[in-house]
Amino acid sequence: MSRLEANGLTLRRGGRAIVQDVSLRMQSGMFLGLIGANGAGKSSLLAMLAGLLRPDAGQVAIDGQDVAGLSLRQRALARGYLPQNPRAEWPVSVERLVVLGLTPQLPAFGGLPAGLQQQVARVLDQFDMAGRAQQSVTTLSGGELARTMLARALVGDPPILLADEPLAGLDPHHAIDGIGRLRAFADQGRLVIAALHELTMVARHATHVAVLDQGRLIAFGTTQDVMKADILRQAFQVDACVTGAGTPTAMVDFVALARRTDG
Amino acid sequence: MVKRLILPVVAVLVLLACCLLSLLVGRVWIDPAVLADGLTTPRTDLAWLILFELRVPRTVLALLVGGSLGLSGAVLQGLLRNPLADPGLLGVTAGASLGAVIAIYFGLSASVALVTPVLGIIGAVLAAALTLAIGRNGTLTMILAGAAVSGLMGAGLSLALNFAPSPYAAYEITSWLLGSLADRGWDQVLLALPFMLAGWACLIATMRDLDALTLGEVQAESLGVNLGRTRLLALAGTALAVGSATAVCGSIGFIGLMAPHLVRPFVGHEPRRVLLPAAFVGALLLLVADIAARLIPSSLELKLGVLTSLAGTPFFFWLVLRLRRMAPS
Amino acid sequence: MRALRASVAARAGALAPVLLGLLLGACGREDVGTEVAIPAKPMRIMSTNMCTDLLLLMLVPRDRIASVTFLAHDAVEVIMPGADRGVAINHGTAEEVVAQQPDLILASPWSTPVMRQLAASTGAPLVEIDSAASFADIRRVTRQMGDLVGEPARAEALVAEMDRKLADLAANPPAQIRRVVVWEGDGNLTGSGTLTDEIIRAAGANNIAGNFPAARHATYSMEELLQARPDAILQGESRFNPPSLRESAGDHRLIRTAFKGRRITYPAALHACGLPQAADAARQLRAEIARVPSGPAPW
Repeated sequence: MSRLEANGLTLRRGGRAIVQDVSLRMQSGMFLGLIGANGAGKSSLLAMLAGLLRPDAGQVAIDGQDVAGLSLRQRALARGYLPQNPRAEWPVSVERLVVLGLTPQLPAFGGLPAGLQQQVARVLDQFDMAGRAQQSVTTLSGGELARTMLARALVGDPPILLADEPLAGLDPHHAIDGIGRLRAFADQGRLVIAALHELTMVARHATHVAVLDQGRLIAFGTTQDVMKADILRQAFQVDACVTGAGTPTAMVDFVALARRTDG
Repeated sequence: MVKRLILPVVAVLVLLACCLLSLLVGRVWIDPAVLADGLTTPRTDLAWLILFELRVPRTVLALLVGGSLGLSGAVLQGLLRNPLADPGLLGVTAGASLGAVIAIYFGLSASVALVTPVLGIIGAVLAAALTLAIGRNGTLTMILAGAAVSGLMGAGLSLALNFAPSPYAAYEITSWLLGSLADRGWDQVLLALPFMLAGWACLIATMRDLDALTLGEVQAESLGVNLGRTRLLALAGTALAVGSATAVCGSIGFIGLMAPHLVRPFVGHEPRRVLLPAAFVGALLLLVADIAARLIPSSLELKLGVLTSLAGTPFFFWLVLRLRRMAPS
Repeated sequence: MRALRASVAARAGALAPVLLGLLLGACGREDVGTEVAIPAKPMRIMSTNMCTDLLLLMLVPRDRIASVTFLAHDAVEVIMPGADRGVAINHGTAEEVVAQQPDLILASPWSTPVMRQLAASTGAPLVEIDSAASFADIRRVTRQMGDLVGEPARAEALVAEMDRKLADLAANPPAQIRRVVVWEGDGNLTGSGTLTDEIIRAAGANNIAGNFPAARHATYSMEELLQARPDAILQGESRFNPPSLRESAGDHRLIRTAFKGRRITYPAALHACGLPQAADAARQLRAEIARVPSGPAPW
């Protein structure tokens, strides 16, 4: 059972508040969809929750422990983090890339212990990449790369996963596949927090939703409670029609008000 | 399993052959049988003196310097994830040169012979520290900072040349800057070795972090890599290893750039697997270059740095063309 | 040779001694200054070359010297301490020619064209003095300088003194002809045609530089040095030379051990400039060689 708490998180850049006074309480089993217009502060909030960005005010606590007091390795063991559009800088094999996700678990010297080797094989299999284990990551399609990166983030079996737009650039088939895996991961008793733009996907798969508008948290609760027309109108400047939020057949349809979303 | 062993075994055999050749080649021809005899029975005869006081230290120095250049090149390419990275790029070589030239210019080398290498290392450390301080925010800023620091050190070198106490000193500085292993001895080996070993320790300590950097800086950091520490280790290691190397044999370019590229087709692109083979190939490259410098007939010995630059520039062009071809994908 | 090169290049602005070596050979003797009348007894003599500086200081009283080069002082301290006290210095620039208003300018055959033009336009006679690479050259140059500055008797006395010492050396040859070679650490070979070679011969030793494959001022390596097995190596004294890197190669561990007790330092200025004191250098060298352990090199 893991808890992640944010208390009064504020981040300022160039005199402007990017994130302002955001407090959240999350725990295992939740799949939190973090939504908001472009520039609402989703990425900054995720980075602060991951302990990668130091807030100007407020604090983040994992299981009651201040993240600032944890070592980098302890943070790495406590949560997985997947940034926006993750890329591989060298043409290494899929398997080696996934193994990098075990960096905090590895002993200081020597190779990969047998137990971890099995973990890698299992996660490759789970993400349908076992057949491509030896292929260079630079030759993968976008969907395959996204799956590989997700496998990389999950191979260490972190109790908390933070993912920044994990579905960006994926076709509908792969997007559905990806968000399904995130939900399944949450159902296994982990906490998953993902910044997402695909509102219908959020309405169908997320258990909880947090909405950011210009750095402020304007709504946080179960999908059913939050995915409502008035909240979406405030956050995205759209006229939205939401049906069946929190069910597998949910739909979110919208037309622009003054400003259109890039969704 | 046997197949995996073939490559390293062949590489080691080639290196051994080159070491032997390096002991045989010189301005004075000594019968290999006499040399072999000199190896087993130490005594002060011509073969012994030439072998043990000149050719062995020269060979050892070529291996150490080449290894340092190859290793730091591989680490810097891994750190910056830029295939064009090289100790010269971060101003380390220029800093070491400036330090050594200051030692010559102020006549400090005359009072204590070892001042030149020590000041060379100090120059390299200062240049590296400056690059690190200005460019600590990211890869691009670090490359830019390296260029700026190189420029600064180059200006310092020009200034030293401008005010050289005599034209002969200026001539010496310029010819020293070309880089050479000629007439080096155990003094230089013993002086550079401790710094090089310390530098290698720093460089090798970055191995795991460099692997994680394959995922980019943000993911590496999320995996527990302390990027500040990694940069510090890489730069300190480069400053120590390349600084001491430059200080004893002048600036030698392109080895650090070439060695990692030459090993990647064989060992893959993972930084961890590139490091030691790159050091090995760097040592081999410099040894071969030094043998070539001795073999190419000329009244003045061809300077080693000139030779590596002549051989390295076409490689650099090839690299740029290849990167350009790969860029759109 | 080194100090000479230095002074030359400082004025010529050229840096590479290799090129200077070519210049030395290429430049002939061309008396540009003869167009202007030279006073019989010039009173404001300006020397723009270190070697003429030294000769001038020996030939005329200090009050007749307008200036000598900034390079002269260190060599003066070795050869004739205090001789340049109170004498102004120049850096061989054209502006100084105008400012110091000399009535005679002494230069080397490779002085800058600007300086020659300027000297011609200011009306000061400029005379180019050859560099001396042999005892015969020294006699000729010393007498030429003596005539120029109106002190032929003084010049004749200097030459006679030198010849007396040389005759003395020749009359009492050393018991054993030792084999020596100059090792400066930069691999430059000091062979025949150099003043050093003549001094070595006058000292009664054999300069084995001639045995090396290359001729005058070519290079040789430490390996070849060892193979040649000289009885002693000569190293220029650096007291008046700016510090330089070649000393570290001259001070190589191998040189220290292999030539223990067989390293002779010589006053570089006396070998670089053709002065009557070259005879003293030969005398000094003979004494030093006599102290070298007898028997061949130990390896």
